[in-house]
Amino acid sequence: MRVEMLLLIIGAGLSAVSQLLLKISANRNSADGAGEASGAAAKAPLMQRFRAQYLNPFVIGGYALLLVAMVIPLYALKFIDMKYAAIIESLGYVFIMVLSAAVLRERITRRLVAGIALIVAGVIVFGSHIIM
Amino acid sequence: MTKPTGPAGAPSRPSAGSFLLLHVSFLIYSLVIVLSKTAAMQGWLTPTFFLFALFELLTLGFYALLWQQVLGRFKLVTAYANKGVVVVWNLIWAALLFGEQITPENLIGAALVVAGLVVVSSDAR
Repeated sequence: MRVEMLLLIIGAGLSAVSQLLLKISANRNSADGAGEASGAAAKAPLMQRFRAQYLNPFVIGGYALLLVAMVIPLYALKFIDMKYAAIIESLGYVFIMVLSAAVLRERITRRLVAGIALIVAGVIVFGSHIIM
Repeated sequence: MTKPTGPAGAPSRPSAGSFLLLHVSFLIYSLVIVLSKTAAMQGWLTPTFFLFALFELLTLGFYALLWQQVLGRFKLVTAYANKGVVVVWNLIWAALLFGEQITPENLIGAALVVAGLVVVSSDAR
């Protein structure tokens, strides 16, 4: 495997991890604010809620990681064909599915897998005029 | 790590409002791509290039604000899968705004994505 191809896969993986970090932050905040007993948290001043939801290590780290994840393919694509971009993009859906199940313990139903398979197929076919 | 919002770890189905928020987010995300393309079409480092690049950055920031709210309402796997809809928006903007040629592959691909979105959204818990 060419090293640039590996870089694209690493970029897709890091991008998936960044989404994971964003989701962890969202889960923590909905756990704080959505519970019936903690209605006070939902009524907290706007700036306080903004700080809790956005200015935390998970969101800041997530976007820092996303930046790195976006720069890596930018470098790699200088050396390999654009046609691989759609395939790597599709990999993102698969990585997210694995991380959601493994780390977040989200329930991945058969229906969800079927739907994502259709979406990935669509993304690949959509970009296939670049491939051919 | 996840906090179930319903009994037995089965959160209730997101509301129509949540789906609206999800799709508004991706519509805005598709506009980021439109602005990026528009900026690229301006002369390199010209004032209009910076103007569109600035719009792009602001729009991206707004999308990031919305995305965090989306993640609070959907499973990550569901929210992210719906990102496929951006393909459909790209197709619409390419035809309407940039007069690009639409290939049969584009149409078939977009149709497959829409079918996938319907299936994924029917399972959005």
